[in-house]
Amino acid sequence: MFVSLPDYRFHVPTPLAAPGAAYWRCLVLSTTTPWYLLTTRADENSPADTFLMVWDSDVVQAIKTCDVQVESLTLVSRNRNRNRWDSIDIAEIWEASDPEYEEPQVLLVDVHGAEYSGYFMQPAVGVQRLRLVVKFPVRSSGPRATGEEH
Amino acid sequence: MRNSSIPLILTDEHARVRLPEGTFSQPETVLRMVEVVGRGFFVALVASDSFEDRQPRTLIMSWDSDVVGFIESPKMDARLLQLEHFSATEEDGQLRLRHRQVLAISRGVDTAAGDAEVIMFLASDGSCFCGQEAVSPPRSIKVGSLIANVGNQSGTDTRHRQPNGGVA
Repeated sequence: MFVSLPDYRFHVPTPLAAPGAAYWRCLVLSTTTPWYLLTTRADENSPADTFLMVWDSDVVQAIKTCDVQVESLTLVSRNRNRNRWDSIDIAEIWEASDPEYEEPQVLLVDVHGAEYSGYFMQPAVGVQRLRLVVKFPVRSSGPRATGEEH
Repeated sequence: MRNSSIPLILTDEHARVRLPEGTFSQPETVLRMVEVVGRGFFVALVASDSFEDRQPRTLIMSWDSDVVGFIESPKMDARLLQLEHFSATEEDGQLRLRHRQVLAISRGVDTAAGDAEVIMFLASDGSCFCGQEAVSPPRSIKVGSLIANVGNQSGTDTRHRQPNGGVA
């Protein structure tokens, strides 16, 4: 989860603030499980909006319910061996099922074709694709993850 | 205010997670989703002896001055194990989230702006950026002192890297 730091609240006058919103210069991430960066925009002429989410189901829900262009998804995953976060560009998001779990699963496919699923977004094994949620245009991308040597 | 030139993190009441009282020592807000307002933001993996559990913490930060503040604050005395900068950029008509791994942070002044202080970030791809818009430093910037190298001591060159990619 994202946890606020009271000392880092930025006070925006009520008439300028979005309804129900608070503004911060800094937050703490309280988890070491993967989290997600979803970039959208209202249309091709609009600036980007970037959302940080901790649950994969929220990512899918947001994409399915928001009337915006979904531009990119980045999976940020903790590399425990190197004690750092790796950023992985995602190419496809699928609703999926896993014989080991009753709950619906989310399957992420990165730009190199590797599949991730589950609470820790481990390499997917035995996960079945059900419905494509979104497919991002393939770029001639660079490194697989920012944390990997190349 | 969702589109602002001031980089900030926006939290919405609807994304708040209700936890039992006493879960945290202070009345923090806990959220499952936040939105970044502005062009970019930092993700820092930070270690500090001031942390009760001595475990590194991950901070999402909007302001470059706060990144430096965590390092230079005597109270925090934080060490940056990792620093990433994310910014939405458009290439060939396609929007993407660019992420850059920061190797070093330096302080400088902009001689074209009355010697205003500038914080510069040297990234692993050789690029250097500064300011709230994460732009390339203009020629009017005079590089000053190294603030910090980023990374585990065993894996990072701790010599003073210059923003032009060289090593002092």
